[in-house]
Amino acid sequence: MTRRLREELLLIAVLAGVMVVALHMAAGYPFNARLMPQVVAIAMLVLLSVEGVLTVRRARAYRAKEASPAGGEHIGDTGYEPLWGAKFRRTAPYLAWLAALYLGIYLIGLMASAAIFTVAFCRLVGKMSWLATLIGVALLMAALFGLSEAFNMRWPVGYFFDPFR
Amino acid sequence: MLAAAFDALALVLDPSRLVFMLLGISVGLVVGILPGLGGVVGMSLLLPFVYGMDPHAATAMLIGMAAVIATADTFPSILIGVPGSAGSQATILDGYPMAQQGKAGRALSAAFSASLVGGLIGALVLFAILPVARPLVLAFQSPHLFMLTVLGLCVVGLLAGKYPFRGILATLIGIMIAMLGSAPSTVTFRFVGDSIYLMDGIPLAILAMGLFAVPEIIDLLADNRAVSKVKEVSSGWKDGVRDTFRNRWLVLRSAALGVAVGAIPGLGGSVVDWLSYGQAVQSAKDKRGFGKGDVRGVIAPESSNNAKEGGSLIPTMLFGIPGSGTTAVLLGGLILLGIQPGPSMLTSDLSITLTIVWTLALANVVGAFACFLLSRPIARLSTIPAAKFAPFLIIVMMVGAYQNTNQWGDLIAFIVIGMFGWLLKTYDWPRAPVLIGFVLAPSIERYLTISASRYGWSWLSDPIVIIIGVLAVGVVVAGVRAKRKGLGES
Repeated sequence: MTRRLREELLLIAVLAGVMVVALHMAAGYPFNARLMPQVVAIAMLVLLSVEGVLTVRRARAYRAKEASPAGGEHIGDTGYEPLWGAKFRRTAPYLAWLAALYLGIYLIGLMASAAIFTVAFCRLVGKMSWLATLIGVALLMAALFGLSEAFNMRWPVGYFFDPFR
Repeated sequence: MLAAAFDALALVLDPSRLVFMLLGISVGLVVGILPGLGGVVGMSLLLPFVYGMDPHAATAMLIGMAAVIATADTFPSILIGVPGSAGSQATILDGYPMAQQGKAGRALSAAFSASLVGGLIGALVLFAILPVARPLVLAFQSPHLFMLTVLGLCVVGLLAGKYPFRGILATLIGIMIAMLGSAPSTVTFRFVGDSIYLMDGIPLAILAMGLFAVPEIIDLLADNRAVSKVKEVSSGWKDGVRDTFRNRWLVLRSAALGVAVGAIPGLGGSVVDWLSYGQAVQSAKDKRGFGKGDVRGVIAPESSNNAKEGGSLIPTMLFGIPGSGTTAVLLGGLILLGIQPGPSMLTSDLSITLTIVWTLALANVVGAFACFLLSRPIARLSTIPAAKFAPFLIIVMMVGAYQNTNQWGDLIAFIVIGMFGWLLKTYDWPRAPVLIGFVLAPSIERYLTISASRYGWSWLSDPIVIIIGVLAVGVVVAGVRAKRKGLGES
């Protein structure tokens, strides 16, 4: 079983597990509230079983095609690239950036985090010049303040301190 | 009807509303130009800002944005060979070779003028169909609307993505997500545990942005997609416009095809350009130039992908069945504004419907002219690497997400759904049906509840219900067979 197939089957199994829990929880609701979730959950469980079988068959067919003399990889064909491999390694740094932004918002609020995040990202990842970075960040902050004033918008404030509170 | 149409035009041209339409058009131009971002992302970005807005101004902004994406997405397709959105893939086949041959200006002007004509035809058909559809739509009762919604979901599920069952499963996932929170007609909170945030359910804007924008941005960054070449777009503008008029029958045929395909829920943007390109090749006497820089290969898809916007609004507004992810978010936006798509769009909310028609027409004209005027700076904008615009887009999305309830739950739901959307994208699960299922879930549940309480189970023996039911089963069987055959051949 290839890694990609294992991952796909895991996703199907997790979805099926969620549906079983949903069925169990819905059983305690009044008829009008449980009818729709129960119908949908049962339909999903049936279709997920079919999809599980089809996924295995597709993976086998793909392997057979790769093994055939005319098979092999084609340009741009990433159909069976597993997530936990090269793709995750490419993506992980950006997920870490997002996590850092969330931590920043939690600690010092959105406005201050947004300024720090955009400056750091533009400089370190975007390789932008200081001038372009500062212009971009200034425009963003001005737009945020403008929106805040015009539409009375609110931002998440920091847990410890928020210079823009 | 005509008097109502002119009243709606006056509403659209009111300066306080016109400015919002122009704002929507501006956002649509930027979203269309940036590769990888499409109508759903643009619609999701604007959606949080429609709360509390005047319904006419808000619909003008949303439709203005959606209408010009199919025009603006031509830039990356022709200049850099990357589709600006799903509906401009076929344009690359001849548009990009034309740019490489130094005919980018001609290709762009042909595309813009064809888009303009196509978009206007789409709006015209939408307007023409309203009086015809009015008695038909008003004749439908709750059981029929329930079955039509089920049929629409089956079609959407089957046609979206590569694998038929995943599409149907995706619609069901969307319905299940919509089940979170308070149940209609009872005082039960479903699947919320102790979470106060979830009691009102997941906001549509958060679901749309999480499902579409987050995965696109993560993948754009991870793939380090940056295009550095700036193509020269200086000459050939008049030739392109002349090409469109010389091939006027092709433009009209493609627009008609675009409207028809757009009106079928689930088909929409991702196939209309290919179908149109195919009919252009088949109907051409001299086929040798196609794929090597034939302007007809640009005109046909561009005319049809703008016309499909008008077509896709027909089922969205009249039956409340969105034809695509973009119209699903639009539908949600209308509901947020207190407008219930369906028969009321032809009675109490007729002015909104006509506002949409006018905005569609005006936005196509303004969008096409804006593209002509801004082509040079836009050509440079389209080469911005994702790493340079992503941080700003992420902040705007988070700000937008937080405006839904002003709770941390908004930000948590946004990132959790974003990661789920990224998994779906990675494993080839279509995401548009999730959104469509989510948007349609309250209608399905309401129609079912009304049908059951009003007619008991006797509504199941209604002839129209049976016909639509048989149609739905037939669609599923035929769709699964066709997809399996297609997959086998590929």
